[in-house]
Amino acid sequence: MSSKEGGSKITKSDLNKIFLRSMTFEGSWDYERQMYLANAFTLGPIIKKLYPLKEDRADALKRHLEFFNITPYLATLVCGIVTAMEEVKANGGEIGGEAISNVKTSLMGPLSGIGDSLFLTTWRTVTAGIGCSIAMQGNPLGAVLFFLLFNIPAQAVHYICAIKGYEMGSKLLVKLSETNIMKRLTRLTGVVGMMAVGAMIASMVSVTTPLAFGSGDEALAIQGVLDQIMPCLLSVIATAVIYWVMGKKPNTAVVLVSIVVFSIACSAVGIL
Amino acid sequence: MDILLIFLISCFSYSNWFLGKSMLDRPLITGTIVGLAFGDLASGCIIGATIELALMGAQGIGAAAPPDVISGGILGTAFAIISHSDAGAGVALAIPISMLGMVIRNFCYIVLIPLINRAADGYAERGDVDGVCRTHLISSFFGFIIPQALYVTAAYALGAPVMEGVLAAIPEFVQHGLTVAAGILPALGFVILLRTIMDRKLLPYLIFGFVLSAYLGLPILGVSLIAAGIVLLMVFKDRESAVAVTASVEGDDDEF
Repeated sequence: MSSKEGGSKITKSDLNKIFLRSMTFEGSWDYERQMYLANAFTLGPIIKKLYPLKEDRADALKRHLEFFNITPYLATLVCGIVTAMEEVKANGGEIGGEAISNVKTSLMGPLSGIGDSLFLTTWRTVTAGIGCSIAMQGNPLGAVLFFLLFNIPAQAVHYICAIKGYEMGSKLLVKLSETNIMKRLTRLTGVVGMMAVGAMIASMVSVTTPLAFGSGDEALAIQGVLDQIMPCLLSVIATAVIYWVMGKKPNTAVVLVSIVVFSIACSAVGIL
Repeated sequence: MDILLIFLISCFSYSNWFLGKSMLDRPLITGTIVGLAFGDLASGCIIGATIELALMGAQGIGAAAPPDVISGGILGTAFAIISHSDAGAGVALAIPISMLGMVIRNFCYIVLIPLINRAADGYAERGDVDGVCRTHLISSFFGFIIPQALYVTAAYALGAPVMEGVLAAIPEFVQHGLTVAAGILPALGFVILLRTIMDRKLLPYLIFGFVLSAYLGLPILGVSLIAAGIVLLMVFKDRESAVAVTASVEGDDDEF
């Protein structure tokens, strides 16, 4: 089977292995080369299958132990493409090791940019928001729904990328830029993201003031006045201020702690 | 018994990066599991969701290491449940714990994991594929999952007896302040999302979402479904115009 001329050595089950192994993609993450070892782990069976000789295996392993970092759900796309290229190389084709490394390097930047904003920012925030709105009533379905809503599309993409990546090989890049799929996908998820954020600012950010004019029965609660102007007015203001602050690209942890300190201070003087 | 449960939940949760980054690390999930384990599912859900919203902005994007939401989520929920405190107290505990957790995590990333991973280069030199793969597994478990879970378990074992006293000693205005913070913090998470996808053309949708929720009281899922409907309309419209253009170019239209 494996010696058939021109016949592909890589089977569907090899691609399934790539998918399964890539589940561990951030397991051995470190600061130095990040996801490099996971990348070699994912391609391990492919390297073993394509290169019977020790020297060739050593070459391939070293090539796949170079720096690597990518949104894990899209890792299979690169691994699929690389598998197609390694196969050509192993069969004596014109692809050199350098070309394979270059494809990896050139793919990880743009793919991570898209993957992080699509999955880790937009989709995670929207699905977690939906889950939280249910869990807030003490309902465990919130967590279940969050898990399913996030993972079904994310892991589906994760799987499809392994198959498509291999099928299209290095041609995929050209196709992606031709059809502008990524740009359109970003715009469409942006619509969902924006609407969900708008709703979540209203329902999940909660800022109210206990302040009142006058005292006793005559007291006019300021919160009541604010509510008549616009519901969730203080939440909108708080969000707008944080939006402005985050534009200065501060450390998120510092902002987080500052919000806590600010809240305690406002609580102490009775404003919030 | 509860110490063992905390250890198991931590191992499960820190496996997030070993199991397809499937969000096992998020407080909404860990809080619910801790609630289940501690026999107070409803509180676990509520505290977990509150911590989730407060730490919404804490997610590793690219190479930056965020606060460790696992230790914060698990311990914040566990301590709040055993001391019968509210969700605000859970958030108050979760924030400093996740900051400390970030330090422990960086220790794994900078010292422990590279130390184990180093072996892989040697195996690669000899063309030993299995050796490289084995290193990855050892590193994932003993360089990350186990040490991290041990930290959470130790913090629980040491903290549980004193936590009740600590929470009771916090002055009223600070406790109220933390509840206020729990109300504001979700905005940070939403802002991070806004900053990523903000585009002037998308601004109307932000307003639509706000009005649907603030004035019409629609739940998030309802708003998201309307958004999904709008997306479908846009796709159909795109397709119509794409067909008109590509009919002459003879292109195949496979889109996501």
